[in-house]
Amino acid sequence: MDIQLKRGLLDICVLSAMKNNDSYGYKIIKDIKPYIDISESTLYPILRRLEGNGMITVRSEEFNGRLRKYYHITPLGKKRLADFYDEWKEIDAIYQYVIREDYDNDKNAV
Amino acid sequence: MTKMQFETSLRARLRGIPENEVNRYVEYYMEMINDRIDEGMGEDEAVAAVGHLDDIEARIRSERQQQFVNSAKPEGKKKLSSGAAAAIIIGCILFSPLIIGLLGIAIGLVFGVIGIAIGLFFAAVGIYIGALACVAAGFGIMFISIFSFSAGMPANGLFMLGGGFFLTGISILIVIALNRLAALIIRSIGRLFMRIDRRFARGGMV
Repeated sequence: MDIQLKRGLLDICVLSAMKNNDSYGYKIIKDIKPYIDISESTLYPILRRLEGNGMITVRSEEFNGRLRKYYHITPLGKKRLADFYDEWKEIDAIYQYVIREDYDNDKNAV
Repeated sequence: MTKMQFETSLRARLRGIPENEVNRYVEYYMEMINDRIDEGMGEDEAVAAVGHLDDIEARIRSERQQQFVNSAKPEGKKKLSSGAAAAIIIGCILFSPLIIGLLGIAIGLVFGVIGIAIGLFFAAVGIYIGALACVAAGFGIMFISIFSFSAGMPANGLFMLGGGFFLTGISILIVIALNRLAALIIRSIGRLFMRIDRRFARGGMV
């Protein structure tokens, strides 16, 4: 997958992983991994960037006698997700156009 | 590798990065390891699962470099409000005699400095050529001294040989000193231009 496209999609996936409930680093990785390849080293800068852009907030909470960081999606983060749904409709329309072109070409070739 | 060993190695590898940043990275990776251990994974396995230290270090350093590049990127040019633009135009008209005078002084200074630089350059070239000529002359005198020895004038020959050596030595020293001075000046000018270029790029003027 194109690196820029993957980077954009990773941001969306991370936001999506906490849209219903606050989440923590390892859980985010576990939730996303079946759909898109992500490692700890990849997640860290994404979390920092989303936090810097005001799309998520972080709080520390005690868990098993140690502190764990929980990430919470902000209204700005939710807006980014909503924008993505609209963007994806446009991308899907382009995809449909591209595969239809291929289908027509294949049909003409036969 | 144990958690402790991982933490110590990571801290050692991130030397040079501000401590608070290092602490954030370490806390993040330790949390990932601990979460895996809480899920039932062995300590060694949990440490190995967060990735190889080489990759982690490379990733952190490249991310920091990217942040530095982004922070150095010039921001978009800000538009002036119409009031501010009008005030600048009126100010320019009112203070035009003063501005023109100052501009004249600045141009005069710039040309003066350029004139001095050109003068110094040609003076240096002159000294360089002179020094090279003295080297040749020194060798010439040393060569002539051979005839003085063969003509039965050892004192004269010795004096000429000594003089030739002295002239050649001094001239070679001058040539070396000028070479070093020229290299230093060229390096300094290069650095000055790079600094100016960086400042303009940071200020969004280019």
